[in-house]
Amino acid sequence: MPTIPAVLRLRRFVIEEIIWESVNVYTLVLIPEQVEDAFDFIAGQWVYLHPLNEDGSSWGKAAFSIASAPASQPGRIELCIEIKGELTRRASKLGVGHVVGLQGPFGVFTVRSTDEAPFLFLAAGIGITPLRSMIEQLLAQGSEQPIHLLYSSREIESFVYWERFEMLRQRYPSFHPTCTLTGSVPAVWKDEHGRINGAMLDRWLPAVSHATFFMCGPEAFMQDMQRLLVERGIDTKKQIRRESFGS
Amino acid sequence: MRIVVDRQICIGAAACVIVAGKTFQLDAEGKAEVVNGAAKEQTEETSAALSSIENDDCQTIIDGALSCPVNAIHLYEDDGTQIV
Repeated sequence: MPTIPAVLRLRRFVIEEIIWESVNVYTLVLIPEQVEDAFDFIAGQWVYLHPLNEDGSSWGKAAFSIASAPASQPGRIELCIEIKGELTRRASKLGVGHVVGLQGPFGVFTVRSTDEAPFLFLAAGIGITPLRSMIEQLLAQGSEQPIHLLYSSREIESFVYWERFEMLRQRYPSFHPTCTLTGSVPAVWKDEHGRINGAMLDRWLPAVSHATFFMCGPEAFMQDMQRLLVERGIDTKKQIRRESFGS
Repeated sequence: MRIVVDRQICIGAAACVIVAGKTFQLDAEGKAEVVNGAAKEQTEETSAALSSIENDDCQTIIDGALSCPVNAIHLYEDDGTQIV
């Protein structure tokens, strides 16, 4: 009988906490039910989340990037989920102590040892999830290389993890987060306003020729960013790493 | 049997590479392709005869196709019947 690849084994994780990040985005904090359910992952990878039926079988599955960093707490997994469809709604109604299934980790959207610093992260909306994992892992590893984040969101209420990034900014001088609001702007707003365009990128980009860009967001955002970076002489194949969402 | 990767749909999530790494790899554009597969066709697909694939057993290749989050990989029997 063929052996199931380890990444496809349905691992049982217990919901430790559900944190509502905005009106339609929540973080599931998961811990392995048994020691053998735990798995190692690389910052930036994703997993399949399976809500379970009463008999422990899978109700369905959907892919989500891991939001937490491997260095944060061994075995612990955080998934940032935007409510879109029945599975994400169903998972949002689970409670602390409920068990879900995870398969993985998958993906190659990760920081590699050959990547050249500075590291420049571009995110829109829920695309911040794998970037949070990568940024926190780099900082936890003691990286002193400059890490820049340009994060776009429609409204201030929709910024996911912004308080975490503010805390990290104060703790790590090498971390430089900037956010831009594309919708209404509060009176006290000091960061950028509007969609990321060439002028904003020019203000934000450090004056270096060598850098690695990591981008994640809706497809229109990805295409815009790629075009703007190519216009600025960035090598698409060597310097740009991207993670797309399925529809 | 044939493996077909629809490059229009593939988002480079790389689940197939992790599950069946002897069969699938990412190309320079970050899209899945079949290792040592047939030359890319003029269409937006890359495909290969399953018999040309070594090392991964059939179930692993099926698992690799099923692991794709956007269903970009399709497997067909010789008679054209779709497996995945």
